[in-house]
Amino acid sequence: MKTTRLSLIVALAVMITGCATQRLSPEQKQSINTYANSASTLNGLANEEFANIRNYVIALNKMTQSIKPNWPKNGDLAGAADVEDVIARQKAVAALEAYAIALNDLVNDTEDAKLRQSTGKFRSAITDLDVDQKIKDSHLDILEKTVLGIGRFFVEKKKKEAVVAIVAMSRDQVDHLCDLLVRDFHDDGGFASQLIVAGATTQVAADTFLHSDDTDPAGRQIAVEAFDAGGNALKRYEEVHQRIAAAARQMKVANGLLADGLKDRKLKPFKSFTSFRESVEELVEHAEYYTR
Amino acid sequence: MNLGNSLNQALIKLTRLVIKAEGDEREQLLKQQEELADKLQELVNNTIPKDADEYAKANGALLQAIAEIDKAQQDVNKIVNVIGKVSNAVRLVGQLVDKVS
Repeated sequence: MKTTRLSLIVALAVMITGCATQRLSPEQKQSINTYANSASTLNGLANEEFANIRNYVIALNKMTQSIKPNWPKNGDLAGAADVEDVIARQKAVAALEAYAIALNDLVNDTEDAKLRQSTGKFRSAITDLDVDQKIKDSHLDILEKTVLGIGRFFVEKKKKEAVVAIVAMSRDQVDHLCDLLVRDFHDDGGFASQLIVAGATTQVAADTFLHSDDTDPAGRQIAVEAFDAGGNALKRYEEVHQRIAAAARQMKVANGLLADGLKDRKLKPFKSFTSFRESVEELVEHAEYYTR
Repeated sequence: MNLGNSLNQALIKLTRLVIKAEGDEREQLLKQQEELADKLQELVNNTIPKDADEYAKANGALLQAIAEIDKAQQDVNKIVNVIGKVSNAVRLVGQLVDKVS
Protein backbone atom coordinates (compact mmCIF):
# COMPACT_ATOMS: atom_id res chain seq x y z
CA MET A 1 0.00 0.00 0.00
CA LYS A 2 2.82 2.33 1.03
CA THR A 3 4.76 1.44 -2.15
CA THR A 4 1.72 2.09 -4.34
CA ARG A 5 1.17 5.52 -2.75
CA LEU A 6 4.86 6.39 -3.25
CA SER A 7 4.70 5.26 -6.90
CA LEU A 8 1.66 7.47 -7.41
CA ILE A 9 3.41 10.48 -5.91
CA VAL A 10 6.49 9.87 -8.05
CA ALA A 11 4.35 9.45 -11.18
CA LEU A 12 2.46 12.65 -10.39
CA ALA A 13 5.71 14.55 -9.80
CA VAL A 14 7.11 13.32 -13.13
CA MET A 15 3.91 14.39 -14.88
CA ILE A 16 3.93 17.84 -13.31
CA THR A 17 7.62 18.36 -14.11
CA GLY A 18 7.04 17.10 -17.64
CA CYS A 19 4.15 19.48 -18.13
CA ALA A 20 6.22 22.38 -16.81
CA THR A 21 8.95 21.83 -19.40
CA GLN A 22 6.31 21.49 -22.09
CA ARG A 23 4.83 24.89 -21.47
CA LEU A 24 6.18 28.35 -22.17
CA SER A 25 7.63 30.12 -19.16
CA PRO A 26 6.36 33.64 -18.31
CA GLU A 27 9.67 35.06 -19.59
CA GLN A 28 9.35 33.15 -22.85
CA LYS A 29 5.80 34.38 -23.27
CA GLN A 30 6.92 37.93 -22.64
CA SER A 31 9.69 37.62 -25.23
CA ILE A 32 7.27 36.27 -27.82
CA ASN A 33 4.75 38.99 -26.94
CA THR A 34 7.37 41.70 -27.41
CA TYR A 35 8.36 40.25 -30.76
CA ALA A 36 4.80 39.69 -31.98
CA ASN A 37 3.52 43.13 -30.94
CA SER A 38 6.44 44.87 -32.64
CA ALA A 39 6.06 42.75 -35.78
CA SER A 40 2.35 43.45 -35.92
CA THR A 41 2.86 47.22 -35.52
CA LEU A 42 5.65 47.34 -38.11
CA ASN A 43 3.64 45.52 -40.74
CA GLY A 44 0.44 47.42 -40.04
CA LEU A 45 2.38 50.63 -40.56
CA ALA A 46 4.12 49.35 -43.71
CA ASN A 47 0.73 48.34 -45.07
CA GLU A 48 -0.53 51.92 -44.74
CA GLU A 49 2.71 53.33 -46.08
CA PHE A 50 2.44 51.50 -49.42
CA ALA A 51 -0.91 53.22 -50.02
CA ASN A 52 0.49 56.52 -48.72
CA ILE A 53 3.37 56.40 -51.20
CA ARG A 54 1.03 55.99 -54.15
CA ASN A 55 -1.23 58.80 -52.89
CA TYR A 56 1.72 61.15 -52.26
CA VAL A 57 3.25 60.40 -55.67
CA ILE A 58 -0.02 61.23 -57.45
CA ALA A 59 -0.55 64.40 -55.38
CA LEU A 60 3.03 65.58 -56.01
CA ASN A 61 2.85 64.92 -59.74
CA LYS A 62 -0.48 66.80 -59.97
CA MET A 63 1.13 69.82 -58.30
CA THR A 64 4.15 69.61 -60.58
CA GLN A 65 1.89 69.35 -63.62
CA SER A 66 0.55 72.85 -62.96
CA ILE A 67 3.99 74.47 -62.71
CA LYS A 68 6.20 72.35 -65.03
CA PRO A 69 5.33 71.83 -68.69
CA ASN A 70 5.10 68.27 -70.10
CA TRP A 71 5.04 66.56 -66.73
CA PRO A 72 4.92 63.64 -66.03
CA LYS A 73 7.09 62.59 -68.94
CA ASN A 74 5.13 59.42 -69.68
CA GLY A 75 1.79 60.94 -68.67
CA ASP A 76 1.32 58.53 -65.77
CA LEU A 77 0.69 60.35 -62.49
CA ALA A 78 1.35 57.29 -60.32
CA GLY A 79 4.62 56.36 -62.00
CA ALA A 80 5.57 52.81 -61.01
CA ALA A 81 3.24 52.93 -58.00
CA ASP A 82 0.39 51.04 -59.73
CA VAL A 83 -2.63 49.93 -57.72
CA GLU A 84 -1.70 46.29 -58.44
CA ASP A 85 1.81 46.85 -57.07
CA VAL A 86 0.42 48.43 -53.92
CA ILE A 87 -2.03 45.54 -53.40
CA ALA A 88 0.66 42.87 -53.93
CA ARG A 89 2.86 44.55 -51.34
CA GLN A 90 -0.01 44.99 -48.91
CA LYS A 91 -0.75 41.26 -49.15
CA ALA A 92 2.86 40.47 -48.25
CA VAL A 93 2.87 42.66 -45.14
CA ALA A 94 -0.64 41.46 -44.23
CA ALA A 95 0.78 37.91 -44.11
CA LEU A 96 3.53 39.07 -41.72
CA GLU A 97 0.97 40.92 -39.62
CA ALA A 98 -1.33 37.86 -39.50
CA TYR A 99 1.64 35.72 -38.45
CA ALA A 100 2.43 38.11 -35.58
CA ILE A 101 -1.19 38.29 -34.43
CA ALA A 102 -1.57 34.49 -34.49
CA LEU A 103 1.64 34.16 -32.48
CA ASN A 104 0.46 36.74 -29.97
CA ASP A 105 -2.90 35.03 -29.55
CA LEU A 106 -1.21 31.69 -28.99
CA VAL A 107 0.85 32.92 -26.06
CA ASN A 108 -1.92 34.94 -24.45
CA ASP A 109 -5.09 33.74 -22.76
CA THR A 110 -7.05 33.93 -25.95
CA GLU A 111 -10.48 32.34 -26.34
CA ASP A 112 -10.58 29.23 -28.56
CA ALA A 113 -12.80 30.86 -31.16
CA LYS A 114 -10.52 33.90 -31.52
CA LEU A 115 -7.46 31.67 -31.69
CA ARG A 116 -8.99 29.66 -34.51
CA GLN A 117 -9.93 32.89 -36.25
CA SER A 118 -6.41 34.32 -36.06
CA THR A 119 -4.76 31.10 -37.33
CA GLY A 120 -7.40 30.93 -40.06
CA LYS A 121 -6.55 34.51 -41.08
CA PHE A 122 -2.87 33.61 -41.12
CA ARG A 123 -3.60 30.70 -43.44
CA SER A 124 -5.64 32.77 -45.86
CA ALA A 125 -3.05 35.57 -45.83
CA ILE A 126 -0.33 33.07 -46.74
CA THR A 127 -2.32 31.39 -49.50
CA ASP A 128 -3.31 34.80 -50.89
CA LEU A 129 0.29 35.91 -51.41
CA ASP A 130 1.47 37.15 -54.80
CA VAL A 131 5.05 36.15 -53.97
CA ASP A 132 6.49 32.63 -53.60
CA GLN A 133 4.58 30.66 -51.01
CA LYS A 134 7.22 28.91 -48.98
CA ILE A 135 4.90 27.17 -46.50
CA LYS A 136 3.46 23.82 -47.55
CA ASP A 137 -0.32 23.38 -47.33
CA SER A 138 0.27 20.20 -45.33
CA HIS A 139 2.13 22.25 -42.68
CA LEU A 140 -0.73 24.74 -42.51
CA ASP A 141 -3.10 21.75 -42.03
CA ILE A 142 -0.99 20.53 -39.11
CA LEU A 143 -1.04 24.00 -37.52
CA GLU A 144 -4.83 24.25 -37.81
CA LYS A 145 -5.27 20.75 -36.35
CA THR A 146 -2.97 21.62 -33.43
CA VAL A 147 -4.96 24.78 -32.72
CA LEU A 148 -8.26 22.88 -32.98
CA GLY A 149 -6.94 20.36 -30.44
CA ILE A 150 -6.03 22.96 -27.84
CA GLY A 151 -9.41 22.52 -26.10
CA ARG A 152 -9.52 22.32 -22.31
CA PHE A 153 -6.84 19.79 -21.36
CA PHE A 154 -3.07 20.36 -21.45
CA VAL A 155 -3.84 23.79 -22.87
CA GLU A 156 -0.39 25.24 -22.23
CA LYS A 157 1.41 22.19 -23.66
CA LYS A 158 -0.68 22.30 -26.82
CA LYS A 159 -0.27 26.04 -27.17
CA LYS A 160 3.48 25.62 -26.99
CA GLU A 161 3.30 22.93 -29.68
CA ALA A 162 1.36 25.34 -31.86
CA VAL A 163 3.84 28.17 -31.25
CA VAL A 164 6.78 25.90 -32.10
CA ALA A 165 4.96 24.70 -35.23
CA ILE A 166 3.99 28.15 -36.54
CA VAL A 167 7.44 29.67 -35.95
CA ALA A 168 9.33 26.73 -37.48
CA MET A 169 7.13 26.40 -40.55
CA SER A 170 7.05 30.17 -41.18
CA ARG A 171 10.75 30.89 -40.87
CA ASP A 172 11.64 30.84 -44.59
CA GLN A 173 8.46 32.73 -45.47
CA VAL A 174 9.10 35.40 -42.85
CA ASP A 175 12.73 35.75 -44.02
CA HIS A 176 11.59 36.16 -47.62
CA LEU A 177 8.87 38.70 -46.81
CA CYS A 178 11.21 40.72 -44.56
CA ASP A 179 13.75 40.82 -47.42
CA LEU A 180 11.05 42.14 -49.75
CA LEU A 181 10.13 44.81 -47.24
CA VAL A 182 13.77 45.92 -46.96
CA ARG A 183 14.05 46.02 -50.75
CA ASP A 184 10.94 48.16 -51.12
CA PHE A 185 12.07 50.74 -48.58
CA HIS A 186 15.82 50.76 -49.05
CA ASP A 187 17.23 48.72 -51.92
CA ASP A 188 17.86 49.31 -55.64
CA GLY A 189 14.89 51.05 -57.17
CA GLY A 190 12.57 49.89 -54.40
CA PHE A 191 8.98 51.05 -54.22
CA ALA A 192 9.85 54.02 -51.97
CA SER A 193 12.23 55.40 -54.61
CA GLN A 194 9.19 56.41 -56.67
CA LEU A 195 8.37 58.93 -53.95
CA ILE A 196 11.92 60.34 -54.10
CA VAL A 197 11.67 60.88 -57.87
CA ALA A 198 8.33 62.67 -57.41
CA GLY A 199 9.45 64.65 -54.34
CA ALA A 200 12.77 65.80 -55.85
CA THR A 201 11.14 66.79 -59.14
CA THR A 202 8.32 68.66 -57.43
CA GLN A 203 10.55 70.60 -55.06
CA VAL A 204 12.93 71.73 -57.81
CA ALA A 205 10.06 72.58 -60.19
CA ALA A 206 8.47 74.69 -57.45
CA ASP A 207 11.75 76.40 -56.65
CA THR A 208 12.30 77.17 -60.35
CA PHE A 209 8.76 78.57 -60.64
CA LEU A 210 9.32 80.79 -57.60
CA HIS A 211 12.61 82.03 -59.15
CA SER A 212 10.80 82.88 -62.40
CA ASP A 213 9.09 86.14 -63.40
CA ASP A 214 5.68 84.48 -63.30
CA THR A 215 3.56 86.60 -60.96
CA ASP A 216 0.29 84.69 -61.21
CA PRO A 217 -0.80 84.50 -57.53
CA ALA A 218 -2.55 81.13 -57.95
CA GLY A 219 0.55 79.63 -59.59
CA ARG A 220 2.83 81.01 -56.90
CA GLN A 221 0.55 79.65 -54.18
CA ILE A 222 0.70 76.19 -55.75
CA ALA A 223 4.49 76.51 -56.06
CA VAL A 224 4.85 77.36 -52.35
CA GLU A 225 2.75 74.33 -51.39
CA ALA A 226 4.56 72.11 -53.89
CA PHE A 227 7.94 73.20 -52.53
CA ASP A 228 6.96 72.08 -49.02
CA ALA A 229 5.26 68.88 -50.21
CA GLY A 230 8.33 67.89 -52.26
CA GLY A 231 10.63 68.54 -49.31
CA ASN A 232 8.39 66.53 -46.98
CA ALA A 233 8.46 63.56 -49.38
CA LEU A 234 12.27 63.52 -49.27
CA LYS A 235 12.22 63.81 -45.48
CA ARG A 236 9.72 60.96 -45.31
CA TYR A 237 12.20 58.66 -47.06
CA GLU A 238 14.97 59.63 -44.66
CA GLU A 239 12.95 59.59 -41.46
CA VAL A 240 10.29 56.91 -42.02
CA HIS A 241 11.20 54.61 -44.90
CA GLN A 242 14.78 54.04 -43.77
CA ARG A 243 13.40 53.09 -40.35
CA ILE A 244 10.91 50.64 -41.86
CA ALA A 245 13.79 48.93 -43.67
CA ALA A 246 15.92 48.83 -40.51
CA ALA A 247 13.04 47.41 -38.45
CA ALA A 248 12.31 44.77 -41.12
CA ARG A 249 15.96 43.68 -40.94
CA GLN A 250 15.66 43.40 -37.17
CA MET A 251 12.43 41.44 -37.48
CA LYS A 252 14.16 38.87 -39.65
CA VAL A 253 16.99 38.48 -37.12
CA ALA A 254 14.57 38.31 -34.17
CA ASN A 255 12.43 35.70 -35.92
CA GLY A 256 15.52 33.56 -36.53
CA LEU A 257 16.45 33.80 -32.84
CA LEU A 258 12.91 32.91 -31.87
CA ALA A 259 12.90 29.86 -34.16
CA ASP A 260 16.29 28.68 -32.86
CA GLY A 261 15.33 29.36 -29.24
CA LEU A 262 12.10 27.39 -29.46
CA LYS A 263 13.84 24.52 -31.22
CA ASP A 264 16.50 24.29 -28.49
CA ARG A 265 13.98 24.81 -25.67
CA LYS A 266 16.11 27.56 -24.15
CA LEU A 267 14.30 30.68 -25.21
CA LYS A 268 15.46 33.57 -23.07
CA PRO A 269 14.59 37.25 -23.10
CA PHE A 270 16.61 38.45 -26.09
CA LYS A 271 18.40 41.75 -26.36
CA SER A 272 17.45 41.93 -30.02
CA PHE A 273 13.74 41.66 -29.17
CA THR A 274 14.11 44.77 -27.05
CA SER A 275 16.03 46.63 -29.73
CA PHE A 276 13.45 45.49 -32.31
CA ARG A 277 10.68 46.87 -30.08
CA GLU A 278 12.58 50.16 -29.59
CA SER A 279 13.16 50.50 -33.35
CA VAL A 280 9.47 50.01 -34.04
CA GLU A 281 8.50 52.50 -31.33
CA GLU A 282 10.88 55.06 -32.84
CA LEU A 283 9.45 54.32 -36.30
CA VAL A 284 5.89 54.90 -35.06
CA GLU A 285 6.90 58.25 -33.52
CA HIS A 286 8.52 59.42 -36.76
CA ALA A 287 5.67 58.15 -38.93
CA GLU A 288 3.15 60.01 -36.78
CA TYR A 289 5.23 63.18 -36.89
CA TYR A 290 5.68 63.11 -40.67
CA THR A 291 2.02 62.25 -41.29
CA ARG A 292 0.71 65.29 -39.42
CA MET B 1 25.52 51.20 -49.20
CA ASN B 2 23.76 49.66 -52.21
CA LEU B 3 23.49 51.54 -55.49
CA GLY B 4 19.78 52.23 -55.13
CA ASN B 5 20.25 53.80 -51.75
CA SER B 6 23.27 55.79 -53.00
CA LEU B 7 21.19 57.07 -55.90
CA ASN B 8 18.33 57.98 -53.55
CA GLN B 9 20.74 59.88 -51.28
CA ALA B 10 22.49 61.59 -54.20
CA LEU B 11 19.19 62.81 -55.65
CA ILE B 12 17.91 64.07 -52.29
CA LYS B 13 21.15 65.91 -51.51
CA LEU B 14 21.50 67.31 -55.03
CA THR B 15 17.92 68.62 -54.88
CA ARG B 16 18.78 70.54 -51.70
CA LEU B 17 21.93 71.90 -53.31
CA VAL B 18 20.08 73.10 -56.42
CA ILE B 19 17.85 75.20 -54.16
CA LYS B 20 20.94 76.83 -52.66
CA ALA B 21 22.77 77.42 -55.96
CA GLU B 22 22.52 80.46 -58.23
CA GLY B 23 23.32 81.55 -61.80
CA ASP B 24 25.07 79.21 -64.23
CA GLU B 25 25.91 76.71 -61.54
CA ARG B 26 22.22 76.40 -60.67
CA GLU B 27 21.37 75.82 -64.35
CA GLN B 28 23.98 73.06 -64.62
CA LEU B 29 22.88 71.43 -61.37
CA LEU B 30 19.23 71.63 -62.47
CA LYS B 31 20.04 69.68 -65.60
CA GLN B 32 22.02 67.09 -63.64
CA GLN B 33 19.29 66.77 -61.02
CA GLU B 34 16.78 65.95 -63.77
CA GLU B 35 19.17 63.40 -65.29
CA LEU B 36 19.68 61.77 -61.91
CA ALA B 37 15.90 61.62 -61.34
CA ASP B 38 15.52 59.97 -64.76
CA LYS B 39 18.16 57.37 -63.85
CA LEU B 40 16.40 56.63 -60.56
CA GLN B 41 13.11 56.24 -62.43
CA GLU B 42 14.78 53.72 -64.75
CA LEU B 43 16.12 51.87 -61.73
CA VAL B 44 12.58 51.71 -60.31
CA ASN B 45 11.31 50.33 -63.62
CA ASN B 46 14.08 47.73 -64.07
CA THR B 47 15.92 45.13 -62.04
CA ILE B 48 19.64 45.79 -61.91
CA PRO B 49 22.11 42.90 -61.59
CA LYS B 50 24.19 43.57 -58.50
CA ASP B 51 27.03 41.38 -59.72
CA ALA B 52 27.65 43.46 -62.85
CA ASP B 53 31.06 45.23 -62.93
CA GLU B 54 29.28 48.46 -63.71
CA TYR B 55 27.28 48.20 -60.47
CA ALA B 56 30.28 48.72 -58.17
CA LYS B 57 31.75 51.42 -60.43
CA ALA B 58 28.48 53.35 -60.55
CA ASN B 59 27.99 53.01 -56.81
CA GLY B 60 31.54 54.25 -56.15
CA ALA B 61 30.96 57.27 -58.41
CA LEU B 62 27.70 58.07 -56.61
CA LEU B 63 29.40 57.90 -53.22
CA GLN B 64 32.09 60.32 -54.48
CA ALA B 65 29.38 62.65 -55.77
CA ILE B 66 27.57 62.52 -52.42
CA ALA B 67 30.80 63.42 -50.59
CA GLU B 68 31.28 66.46 -52.87
CA ILE B 69 27.65 67.54 -52.47
CA ASP B 70 28.08 67.39 -48.68
CA LYS B 71 31.17 69.64 -48.93
CA ALA B 72 29.32 72.08 -51.20
CA GLN B 73 26.42 72.27 -48.75
CA GLN B 74 28.93 73.72 -46.28
CA ASP B 75 30.67 75.93 -48.84
CA VAL B 76 28.89 76.92 -52.08
CA ASN B 77 32.25 77.78 -53.67
CA LYS B 78 32.78 74.03 -53.98
CA ILE B 79 29.73 73.49 -56.24
CA VAL B 80 32.08 73.46 -59.23
CA ASN B 81 33.56 70.17 -57.93
CA VAL B 82 30.09 68.67 -57.59
CA ILE B 83 29.30 69.15 -61.28
CA GLY B 84 32.20 66.95 -62.41
CA LYS B 85 31.47 64.18 -59.90
CA VAL B 86 27.73 64.09 -60.62
CA SER B 87 28.41 64.06 -64.34
CA ASN B 88 30.63 61.00 -63.93
CA ALA B 89 28.06 59.27 -61.71
CA VAL B 90 25.21 59.93 -64.17
CA ARG B 91 27.34 58.50 -67.01
CA LEU B 92 28.20 55.31 -65.08
CA VAL B 93 24.67 54.74 -63.77
CA GLY B 94 23.48 55.26 -67.35
CA GLN B 95 25.83 52.53 -68.60
CA LEU B 96 24.45 50.15 -65.98
CA VAL B 97 20.82 50.97 -66.72
CA ASP B 98 21.41 50.63 -70.48
CA LYS B 99 22.38 47.00 -69.92
CA VAL B 100 18.92 46.11 -68.66
CA SER B 101 16.47 48.59 -70.19
